[in-house]
Amino acid sequence: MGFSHNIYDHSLFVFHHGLDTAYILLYVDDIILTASSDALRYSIMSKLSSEFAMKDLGPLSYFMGISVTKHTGGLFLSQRKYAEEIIERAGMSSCKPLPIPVDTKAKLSGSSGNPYHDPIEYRSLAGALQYLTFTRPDISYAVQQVCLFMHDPKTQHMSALKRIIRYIHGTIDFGLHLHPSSVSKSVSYTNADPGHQEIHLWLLCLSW
Amino acid sequence: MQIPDTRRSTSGYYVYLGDNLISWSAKRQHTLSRSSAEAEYHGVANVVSESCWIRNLLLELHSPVTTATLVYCDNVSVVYLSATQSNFNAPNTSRWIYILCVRKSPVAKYDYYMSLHVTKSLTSSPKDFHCNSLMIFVIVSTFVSLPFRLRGCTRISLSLLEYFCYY
Repeated sequence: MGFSHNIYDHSLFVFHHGLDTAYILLYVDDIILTASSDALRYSIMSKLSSEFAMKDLGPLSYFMGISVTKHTGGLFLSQRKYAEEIIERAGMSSCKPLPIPVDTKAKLSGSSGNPYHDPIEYRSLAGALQYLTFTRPDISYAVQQVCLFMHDPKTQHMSALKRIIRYIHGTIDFGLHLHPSSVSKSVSYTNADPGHQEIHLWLLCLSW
Repeated sequence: MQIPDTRRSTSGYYVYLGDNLISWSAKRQHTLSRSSAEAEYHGVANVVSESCWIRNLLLELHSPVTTATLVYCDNVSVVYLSATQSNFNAPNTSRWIYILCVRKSPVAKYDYYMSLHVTKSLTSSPKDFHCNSLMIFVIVSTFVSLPFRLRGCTRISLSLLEYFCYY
């Protein structure tokens, strides 16, 4: 069909012919298709459906647990439902929300403290939070910190994890806005912190 | 003060395409750094490789980024290093901006190296930077007119930056 396999992202296929461009993003049996014109999109869809049994689910609304809402300013990506499930799983539906996901003073240490009684629960919740960082860059540092202790979680690590969940509880509507913009400019920001003291604030500042 | 268990540092980055945040990370570094400056440079190297990947991906998507990617690094140690220069107290802080050039490596196709030795102040002519093969500028310790305050923050001339962008 003229699509070429992308070496930088193996689930991405690109069609480019003259002014026509189309992208297919594949995940197991889910496909996102976008094309430069409606006519092109229809022709690709009819070609695909002649090859495979497939169902058109209309405009993108849900993909890999991320809900996509179209609004006048662009797209809004959210994992609200997933975040609610995490809070539910942690049994913290009625917890008090917190404004910051990490304790800005104390730093987590791996060696001190009592072992947490249910390391499997800890790992499961930490893993779940890691998936939530797809639309929540504001918790990426906090989640990275709790994930460092997956092998041997202590009670203090669990309280750090619960702190993140309390923060999520208070900011459940947060997500990622994508606006139409030119791709001519790209800017990166970086910070390294050997002391782990301020990087989380820095990351929070940039993501808000 | 590194984390006592491993002595490895943590670094993070954010990548914006236009106005959109498209990639971010907070990760413990793989390598052991012997100074905070080294840890910061490792962080820069990480974001540079991510930026290169994104640029290549966009090229494959037939919408390449036409200008150089600016990498802003909050690097306090470079500010301290530059303090030894005579113009540290000059009111026009744009004079002690240090730029590290990241060039496409002539040997490896998708590999990039940072040439730290070309660190110099912008008072010299931009032409000194041999910009032909430049794709990414690393701007050290210079967060430009961002709405929030950051450590090691200083003001720089935006027009000069724009010049670099399109150079």
